[in-house]
Amino acid sequence: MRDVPMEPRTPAEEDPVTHQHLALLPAYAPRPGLADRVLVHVWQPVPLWLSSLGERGRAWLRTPQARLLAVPFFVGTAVTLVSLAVAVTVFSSYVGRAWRFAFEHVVLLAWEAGIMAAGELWAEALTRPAVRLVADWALPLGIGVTLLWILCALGLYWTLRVESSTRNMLHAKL
Amino acid sequence: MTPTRDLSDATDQDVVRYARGGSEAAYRELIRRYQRPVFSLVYRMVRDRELAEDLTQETFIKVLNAIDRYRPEYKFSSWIFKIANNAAIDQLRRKELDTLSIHGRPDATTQERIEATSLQIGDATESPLEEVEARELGSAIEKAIGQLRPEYRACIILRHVEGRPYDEIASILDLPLGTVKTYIHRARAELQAALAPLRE
Repeated sequence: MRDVPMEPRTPAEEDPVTHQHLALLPAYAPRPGLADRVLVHVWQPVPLWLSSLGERGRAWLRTPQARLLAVPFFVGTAVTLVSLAVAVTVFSSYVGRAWRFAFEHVVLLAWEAGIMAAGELWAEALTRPAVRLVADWALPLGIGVTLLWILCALGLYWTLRVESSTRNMLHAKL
Repeated sequence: MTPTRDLSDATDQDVVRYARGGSEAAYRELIRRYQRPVFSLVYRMVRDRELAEDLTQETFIKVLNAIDRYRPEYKFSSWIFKIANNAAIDQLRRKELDTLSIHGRPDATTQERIEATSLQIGDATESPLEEVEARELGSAIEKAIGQLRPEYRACIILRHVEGRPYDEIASILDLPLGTVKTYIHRARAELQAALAPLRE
């Protein structure tokens, strides 16, 4: 049997010069804290930039500039609201007509399209066994909880009524 | 189920299995194991520290979000290097970075940006002279690597720095085995030509 050389060889055996050069390079590492940053993105539903925006917003509200702006802001809002109320009152007929038009032509159509899309999505979701299992249990569970709720309410009402009538009776006797 | 024992001795496949079960400790262990090699590969591809850190972070986020899609019959290292390499190549396509300086990127104007993009070569325990020599040598080698085509660069780094076998490199880079061998051969020839003055 022929003596076949082992393949693959090590990089150092293949090209000692290149390997020697590249061995001189340091192993770089990212700055500490990578794991925390990654896990925040993977585990937290709220992105980092959003939470930092919230923090910066709260910090800004505590500054003197924010307090300075607060009065004009509230006055401006109040003036705008009053102006809007006047405008709506004065132009109510126009507003009414515009609203009816928008409702008939935009809102109803969007509602219809939304209902259809949701129906399709729901039908597709129901083809999955896990969703079907939840759906199978959701209706009886919902009915059961509602009945329980009604019974509890009735029970509470009955107890209070009995207690009240008993107290009235006792008061009458005394 | 979350393991309570030390994961440092567990195999990659075991750690991935725990991570799939939602163990945060397993996620941390995967990051601990691969942050240096992934960062080194990406850094040598894009040659910008800040950018490499962002791409490394992006790589791990992709890996951990898609951990359920990882197929255990393949090596985990191949999978993560593939994602990291794709991130680096996408970045290089978006923005050409073809120059390198040990003093930071040429477009770095502020001190903070210069520090963020400059190469960090050398060991704190070395003498000042050795440190300067190491920086110069390291800079020359990094510059030679930086002048290679991105495909050659990825091949040579994976072979000589990460010590990966040819078939794994082919799998990571989605290239035929013969192409990987050719790329490595050409990359070595180009590196030797670029580094010839250092040997004289």
